[in-house]
Amino acid sequence: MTPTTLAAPPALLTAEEFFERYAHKRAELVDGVVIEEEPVPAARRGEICAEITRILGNFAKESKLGRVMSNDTMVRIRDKTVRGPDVLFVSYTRLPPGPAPDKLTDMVPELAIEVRSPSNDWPDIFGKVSDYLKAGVTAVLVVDPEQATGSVYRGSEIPQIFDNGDVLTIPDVLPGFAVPLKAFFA
Amino acid sequence: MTPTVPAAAFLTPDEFLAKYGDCSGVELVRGRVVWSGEVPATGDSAVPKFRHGVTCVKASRLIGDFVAAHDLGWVASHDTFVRTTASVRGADVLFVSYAKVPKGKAPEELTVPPDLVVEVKSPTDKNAELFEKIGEYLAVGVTAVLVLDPRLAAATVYRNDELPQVMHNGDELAIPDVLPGFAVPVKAFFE
Repeated sequence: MTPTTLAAPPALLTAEEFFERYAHKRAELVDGVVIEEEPVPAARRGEICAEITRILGNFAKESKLGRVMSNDTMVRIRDKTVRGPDVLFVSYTRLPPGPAPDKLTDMVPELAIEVRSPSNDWPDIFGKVSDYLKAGVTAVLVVDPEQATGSVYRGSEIPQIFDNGDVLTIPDVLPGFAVPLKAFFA
Repeated sequence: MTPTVPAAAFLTPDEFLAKYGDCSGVELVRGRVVWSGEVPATGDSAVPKFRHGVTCVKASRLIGDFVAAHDLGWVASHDTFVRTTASVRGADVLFVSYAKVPKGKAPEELTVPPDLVVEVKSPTDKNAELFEKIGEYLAVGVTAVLVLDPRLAAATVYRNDELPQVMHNGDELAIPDVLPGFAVPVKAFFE
């Protein structure tokens, strides 16, 4: 019988090594492997990310619940996996007020938001959702501009689907937040 | 002398199937051996609870009856191994058409992605692991993944190119792209 050997593994990076080399590039680290993201979003997706950040950011500021971050802010999932959600919300309980740290942290946001681009397959999205939930994110919101929908994934509930006419609420993470989904697409 | 990998640290799908091919309740997840539920101290496979077992049999029967009546293909149960790109998963129930696996004597191993995978969620199953599994099934070419949740009496269908489709107790379950004509009340899986 021929002994099975594994192919020479690519140089796997730790979260720290990844941060040193890729802190200012569009990339994620999945099980030690660097995944380069699409370099720049199309205008439509960029605008929707900005709208979500603005609407959510206004709510977070006014309610004094926490803060909102954009631009694929790094979230450490485990030793060799770092993901960057399009938008995230992290409460002041998890990250106290004050300037946010300028390095890789163990900050786990309560909410991670991914805006689906036409090239994003659902299998990839489920991989991201899985990683965020494993890291301790309470809810993951996937916004799909193409279908004008939002879907929310949690650790033990079935997915919650919001259509264009629905009012989006995420009460376990953002108490009091209620915005028509279509506001994100306006 | 060939280089060896530290024991049980990282298995290839072939190594996994050689060692665990006759077990259930165990999967290879990106090279690592993962038992469902608590790791059994005895080394035996984890045994599902009554409601999980009942729901698996209901799904096998409801889907199996339809598939047999229309002579469509194979239905397999009991954590049948499905290879994905990075892992070897065990499907609670699966359907694969005769177009993919011809009628006749069943081959010992399934070497193509099935058309449908059914996963019955148990109270200890976490969504984080479930979504990872669903992503792998869809990425390798499974057309639809049906997740049955007995606790919530809900059925959710996941596909490659669309939002999850959530069906509750009063709804009818249809998976027309995989089983044309199949239509069963969701509650039939849970009563």
